[in-house]
Amino acid sequence: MIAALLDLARTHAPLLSLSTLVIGAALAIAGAGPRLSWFIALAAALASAAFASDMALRLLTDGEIVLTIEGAALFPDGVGAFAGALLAGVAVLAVMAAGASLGDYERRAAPFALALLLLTAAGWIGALMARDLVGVLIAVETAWLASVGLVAMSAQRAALNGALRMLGAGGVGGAMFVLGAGLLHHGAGALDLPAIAAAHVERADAAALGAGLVLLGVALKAGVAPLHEWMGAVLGRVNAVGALAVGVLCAIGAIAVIVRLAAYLLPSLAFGEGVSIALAVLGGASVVIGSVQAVGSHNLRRMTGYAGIAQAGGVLLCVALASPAGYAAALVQLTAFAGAALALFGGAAAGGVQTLETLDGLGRRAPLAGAAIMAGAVSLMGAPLTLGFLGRWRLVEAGVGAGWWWAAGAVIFASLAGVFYGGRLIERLYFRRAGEVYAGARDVWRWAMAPMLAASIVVIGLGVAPAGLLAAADAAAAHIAGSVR
Amino acid sequence: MSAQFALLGALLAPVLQAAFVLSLQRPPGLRDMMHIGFALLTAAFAARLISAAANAEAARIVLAEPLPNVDLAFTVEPLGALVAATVAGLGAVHAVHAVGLVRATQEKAPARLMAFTALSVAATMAVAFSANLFTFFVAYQALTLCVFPLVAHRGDEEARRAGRTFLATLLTASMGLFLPAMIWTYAIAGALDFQPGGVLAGRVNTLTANILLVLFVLGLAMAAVPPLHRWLPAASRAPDPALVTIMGVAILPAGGVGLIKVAAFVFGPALSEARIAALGLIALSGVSMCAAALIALSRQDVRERLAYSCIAQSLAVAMGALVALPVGLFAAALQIVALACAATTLTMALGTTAAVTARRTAIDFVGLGRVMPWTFAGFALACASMVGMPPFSGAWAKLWLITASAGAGLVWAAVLVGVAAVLTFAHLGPLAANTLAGKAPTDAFKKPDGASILLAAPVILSAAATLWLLVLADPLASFLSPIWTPDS
Amino acid sequence: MTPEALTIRLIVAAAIALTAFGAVAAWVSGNAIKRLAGLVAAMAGAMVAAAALGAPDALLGGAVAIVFATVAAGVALAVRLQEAYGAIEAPELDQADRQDEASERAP
Repeated sequence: MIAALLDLARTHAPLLSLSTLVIGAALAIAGAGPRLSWFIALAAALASAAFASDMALRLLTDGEIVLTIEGAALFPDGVGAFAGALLAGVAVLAVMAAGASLGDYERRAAPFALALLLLTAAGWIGALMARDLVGVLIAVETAWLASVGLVAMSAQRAALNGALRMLGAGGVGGAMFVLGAGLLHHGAGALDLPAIAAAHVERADAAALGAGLVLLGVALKAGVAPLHEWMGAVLGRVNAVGALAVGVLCAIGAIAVIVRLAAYLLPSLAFGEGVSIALAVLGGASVVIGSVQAVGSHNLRRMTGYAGIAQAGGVLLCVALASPAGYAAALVQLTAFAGAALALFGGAAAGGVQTLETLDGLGRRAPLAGAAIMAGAVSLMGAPLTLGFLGRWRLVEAGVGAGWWWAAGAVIFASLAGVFYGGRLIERLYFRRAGEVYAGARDVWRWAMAPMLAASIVVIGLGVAPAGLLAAADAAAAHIAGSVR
Repeated sequence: MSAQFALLGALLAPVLQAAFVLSLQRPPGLRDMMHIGFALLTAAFAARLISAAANAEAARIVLAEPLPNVDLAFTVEPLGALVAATVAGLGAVHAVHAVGLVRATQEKAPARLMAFTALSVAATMAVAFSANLFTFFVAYQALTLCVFPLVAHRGDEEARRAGRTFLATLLTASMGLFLPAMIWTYAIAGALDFQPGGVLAGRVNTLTANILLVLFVLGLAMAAVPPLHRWLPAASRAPDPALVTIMGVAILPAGGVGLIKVAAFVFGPALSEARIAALGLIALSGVSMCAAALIALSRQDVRERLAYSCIAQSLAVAMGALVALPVGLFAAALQIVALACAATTLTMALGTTAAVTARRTAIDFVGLGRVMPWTFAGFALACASMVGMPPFSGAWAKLWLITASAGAGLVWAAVLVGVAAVLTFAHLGPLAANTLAGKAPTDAFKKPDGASILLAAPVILSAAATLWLLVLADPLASFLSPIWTPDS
Repeated sequence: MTPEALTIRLIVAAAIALTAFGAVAAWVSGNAIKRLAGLVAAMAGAMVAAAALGAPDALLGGAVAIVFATVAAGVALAVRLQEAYGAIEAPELDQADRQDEASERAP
């Protein structure tokens, strides 16, 4: 009986990993009080992560094709399954970390914040599993509006200003997406992702413009430079939960969606090359601009956000290579990005850190938060034996293999910039004395430290022994390349 | 004791040393015993590995496999074993000296100072025994990070600035130049293992080989090849134990080992493809060698003078490694050993002098030898070795280097080496002679009772080490021969 | 080119222009409500273009839903901004933010 139910559940894993999050969000609102809502949200996130990772495992190890009766709407491919599982795992950790910061909200607001956090994750996961562009559009906008709402719930009024900018940028992105989808449909005759890839394109111009607009629409939400004007405004003033939603969930989700869409658009003979060039330009610009801005920023969250832009640029460069090796490198970088961002935002939340000055001597005051920030910084720097190093190595290797010297150069530049901003963080953590009494002293739930510690362990552990991750990324890349062909 | 165990011991003992020194700070006697005891243990392990390398015993430790086909692994080969034994032996002597020094000078946070000197020895061991480029890179970065706290030890604005220069130069060079070269090599060869005969042999074209060589050599900023040499003079105001670590025991030897490993184990015969770059770098090294020796002449602070002198010596290693002949590699290996012995002696002698007399400038050194005969006897011996006076070890290294340059048809390079030796004589010879021949100073010292045995004995011991190449040069040649003989 | 095709082209061109205009307005306009109007214009243009190009109903339906949701969120945001700052003009908001930040830095 139970086995049969379990089988049924596994058959519908894509739908379940989504719906548990949405239902969890509804229940969390209904929950009485922050603690109960938090437990509900955590349970939902855990269940969703279990479904998503089980599906990814089956898809990537056995090559088992997950066919569902809702197959008309959901279509989990290699990238979708890999990134979906990653995102679901990130969502679990984000909900756990949010537990420590629920005090930022009024008692009645906390359940809504948790629900919006879950909806953000659900939206991005949905976009990663949607079969056609309409599904992607609706899922992306759901995630985006949920995170705008979450940002607007911050106590500081400056966050409202940031939310307005987010709304503007996202809305423009949405309009671009709709227009692009229309053009793509006009040119390629389909909105189904696999069908677009296989389509015989009659009107190449319209299709190319459409593909570019669709990608640009998502890139606006990913905060890819130079389209990231909203990001600094938001990350500087938002509270901890909002930072997790925008800086981790949205950033990872949007980049993953770009990777997935690009994997379907790039193989097209009619416009694939144009897409590749566009992605490469955006990626190169992001790597350089993000790195420079990270060096110049004084706020830990903003710095992490800008460093994340540089990482995202690296992912785009990988994708632009349009080869399975490139997709695999992109997924590895995505994982590295997720780990580092979680460690830094989680550490910042747990340590009560905003500006870089408040980091002084944190290594002694709050050893665990300090260690997490250190692990994140080291990985962002691309120091050897971390996940960040692995991601950059794979990118440079793939870039050199394809003769993209400038891409390799851009990544090396990012690493050098990383030495500066990461080194500055570590110097403040361990080589300076705290200027004033620890300002952020408050009662942090002990196990709320778990997520960022888990993230730092992942960052270091997978950097030392990455065989499993590399195999999974390779399998995911091979799967999507195979399903497109 | 198996070679495997000795390898593990040589890598772990200094780490344990640091841990014990930090955790057993009180009483100081216990801390100091730990410091010296573990340093001796490290030296014993390293000595065991010399015999392992001589008998071609296999020893390999694999810690992780972070990339396909690339391990984080350590192995024993003659070059690594030679340098490790030199470094560990000098490290033990330095441990005694450091104990004496922190007692005599009341340097702040002595345990931290000792712990990081121990850690930098550990990192140097890892550099020497690294089995591939990746491991070398990791160990090299670790070494940079271990020495940084030593440079910035005093924590004031000057120390912090020196630390920043040190860290920025070494990290930037290794990440901006060495890392791309390494990844490029991986892309070409699919492997990064150090092996006699080189991984690149037969796989690169001329252009690639030339670019790679420049990236590798300049990326190894620890070898102080200009223009990336500024960190060494900048760090010359660090506490004395840090100076010993930088110039004698850790950084410069590590840079030298890196150069030889790149030349012999990565390029091998492929170095002939990179002829243009190699010639350019040899010329750069030769000219800079003379320039550094000349600048040293203008420095009155003895630490700064020694820093520039060490740059000149380290460049001799680069020249030897790049000449692309077995004789050149041999000369470079000898030069690393000679430089390590001489620089350790000189920096320790400076430390002793400063601890006892608080004197730092060349003019104040006049006649000190009459008051501190043992210390300045060692100082003079080491100076003679740096200059290249027979029968000290520096002489053999210089001689082989000149032979190698001439053998490769680079007579101008040989001439540059000779000029540099003369200039080195000019900035070290009179200094050493004046300390012994000048009139003894009459004013009172900081510590009128003179140097303790802990401060004087290490100087003499390591000065004596500069003599040992006299008897060992021939056995060393056959010991090191596997480096330039590819396995068939 | 048939007159019919020409008409469609003209409609599409006009709609794309509307989208671009709306997007620019949403990006540069200082007033929160004007931004919102720009967004709606951009979306409307995109939808008209898509419809003229024969996009499936699902896309249009989805787009309409998104417009509604965005407008709802935007209006709520504008109300909250008015409450918190007493203004909805971006330059005034930025000015107030800078003051907040400065007063926090030098207490």
